[in-house]
Amino acid sequence: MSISPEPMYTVLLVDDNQDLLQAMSFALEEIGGFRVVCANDGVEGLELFFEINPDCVVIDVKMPGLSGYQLVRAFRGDSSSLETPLIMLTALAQDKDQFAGLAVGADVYLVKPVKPQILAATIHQAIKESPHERTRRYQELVENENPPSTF
Amino acid sequence: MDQSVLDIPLKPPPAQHPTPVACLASLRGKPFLFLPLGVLVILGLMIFIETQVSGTLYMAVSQVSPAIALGLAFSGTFWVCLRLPKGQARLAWSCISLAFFTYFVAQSIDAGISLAGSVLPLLSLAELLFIPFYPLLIAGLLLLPSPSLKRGSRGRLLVEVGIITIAALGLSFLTIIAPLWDISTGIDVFTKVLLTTYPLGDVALIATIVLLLLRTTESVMRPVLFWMALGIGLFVYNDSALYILSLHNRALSNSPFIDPFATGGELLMGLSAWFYLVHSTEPGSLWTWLTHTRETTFRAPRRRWFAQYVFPYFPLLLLLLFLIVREQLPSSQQTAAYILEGLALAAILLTITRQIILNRDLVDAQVANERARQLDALKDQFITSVNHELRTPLMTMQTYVELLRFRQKELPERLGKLIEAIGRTNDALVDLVQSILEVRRLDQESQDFSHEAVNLQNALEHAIALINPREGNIAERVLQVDFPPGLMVWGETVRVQQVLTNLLSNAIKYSPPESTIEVSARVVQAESGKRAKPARQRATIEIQIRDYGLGIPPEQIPLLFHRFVRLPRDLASNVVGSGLGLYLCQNLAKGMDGNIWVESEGVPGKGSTFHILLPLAEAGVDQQHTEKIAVAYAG
Repeated sequence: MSISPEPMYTVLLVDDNQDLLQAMSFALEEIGGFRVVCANDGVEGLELFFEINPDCVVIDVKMPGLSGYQLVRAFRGDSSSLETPLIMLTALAQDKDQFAGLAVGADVYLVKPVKPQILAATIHQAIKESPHERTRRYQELVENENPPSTF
Repeated sequence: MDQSVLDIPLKPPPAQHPTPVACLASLRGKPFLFLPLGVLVILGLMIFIETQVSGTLYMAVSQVSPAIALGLAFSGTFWVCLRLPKGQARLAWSCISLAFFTYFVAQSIDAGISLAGSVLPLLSLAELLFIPFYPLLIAGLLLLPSPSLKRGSRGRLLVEVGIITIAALGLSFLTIIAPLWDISTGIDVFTKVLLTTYPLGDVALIATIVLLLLRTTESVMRPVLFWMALGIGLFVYNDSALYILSLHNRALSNSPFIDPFATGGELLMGLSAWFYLVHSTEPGSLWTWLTHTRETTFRAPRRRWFAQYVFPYFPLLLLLLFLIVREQLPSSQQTAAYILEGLALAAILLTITRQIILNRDLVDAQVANERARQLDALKDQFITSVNHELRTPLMTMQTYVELLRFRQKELPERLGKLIEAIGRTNDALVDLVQSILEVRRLDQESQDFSHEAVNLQNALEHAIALINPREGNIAERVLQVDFPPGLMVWGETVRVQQVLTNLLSNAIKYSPPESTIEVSARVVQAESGKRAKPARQRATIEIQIRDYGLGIPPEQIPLLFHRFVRLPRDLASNVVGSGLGLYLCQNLAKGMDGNIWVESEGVPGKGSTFHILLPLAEAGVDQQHTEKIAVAYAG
């Protein structure tokens, strides 16, 4: 009997602030044990998403060009990205923005500044609860003839 | 806040050994009446002495004593000048000091002449030096910096003083002077006019001071103005009595019941300078009573009514009176008649000028009001945008700090300590930014608090636990709690805890580590009857949190509950604060149908008492007992 190791999840970060992107990337790799891919704007984020199919996406709301909200709607509009957990990260905390974020289809709405441990924990939780992750686990079950004892 | 007399610190005294000021300062706290009582005693003494002596000895006493009094007054005002930093306040006090100096010189010349044994001529060079006293003193008083007096108000004040002086002159002319005018041939016209200037100058001075007293709000200036007014009051008596007596007797007349009052007046005016040096704001003193009287008797609406409906029409009434009297005057007194007409005309002109100035001030005020509203909206926008901009770099920094903390074990201990320090500062910064966010949220969300019965004792214990060790001195603070057990309030648990945490935190921050903090609660019974205010018709609980720190100057209390306001004294100190705590508390308290206010005398050591009013949840109140809880913060 083998205990299947905790899989390494892939996280896509989308933020227009390069410094924050770098910081979050380091922290999530170190503290959260994720594999992190960075995108500097919405368009790049869209492209990278369909390229690498991450387990979770963290999106900044206020970005020039394709804004965070529009990005979320794009993701939710596509059947392949429908179930990936999306976390919106923003400095704006007014209630109506929060409501707008959730109505658009994001899963979690975090207000900056967020400690990297909290971000990592939120990502973990969002992934574990998402339909995307559920699907993948079922798939692993099917693919492995011996069910993993950790299930 | 504008720079006011309150904010201008006096430079420290040059020498270390006890100065006269230090000796006077040690009198702080004792009733100040004994100094003016001393003046009264001196007055009595002088009257007695002067009734006993006569001739040149009398002249010597009655001329030398004012000189001494003036010397004291001059030295007091000069000392104030020396201790003030360069600026408008110093200029004002220099004028006042110069006024006393010229008067002192004039009086000394007169004293010299009397001591030499000669008879004092009616008109000497000294007379010329007496006169500048009035314009210099008025100029000095008007120059005193005072944010409650706008620029236009000073001009208007001068005009009003002019009106009052003319009215005084006119009325006294009518009633006293005119009958004596042509009779007294012993004194020439020029001298008669000159003698008039003194009482007039005194009236102008006292009018200036009274108007200033009614219009300025700085508590520091009130004792100064009050004692000056009293001193000038004695002068008015002295000069008027002298004038009338002289006109009667056709020669310059002295009397032991008139002359000492000049000295008394000068001593009192000198006292005002010394009071300014000592800066007394002790409660229970004479000017607290004066302030109270001013506020209740000469209430602002009453003052406004008087200024709007009575004062402008006063010169018109005078004109009518003068015209009527003019008709009655015999033809031999045409000069008097012309003088009366001239006076009435001058009064009308001054009234018109006053109205013009008022209108201009009104327009200025409207423009300023509009601008203030715009700035307020701009300020909100600015705070929101800055807040927003701050968050991203803050998060970047926080992420790196947390990364370092995560790997702290791998670093040498010294570096680990540095990282810990950075981490703490970072946390403080985040707290500050979050509290600004809290305020914005409270501003915008509607007050839909969910109400429940909250146990006060539990709330207090939680509040104590929630106090940020960073905000309070990490020391053992003695907390004296006096809560009737089982006390429940109607509100939201978290909110009640928040208010208590905030107030306790403030009490700890702003009071010395050795002092006690008292927390007590009592039930305020509901008021019955139609006259009870709606908020008081239910039973409420009043919680009091008392600290023994520096206290809050009473005139700054209304500002405390505004956003981002911290007292100037606290901004300059090491104490950390965002100026939002009390604003939040007030919002929360009002949202729970309660209220919050503070009482403080502004005296260090007596501290302040914060009162919170919240609705009572149920009538489960047992007998009271006091507990002393020593609360230790392990940090």
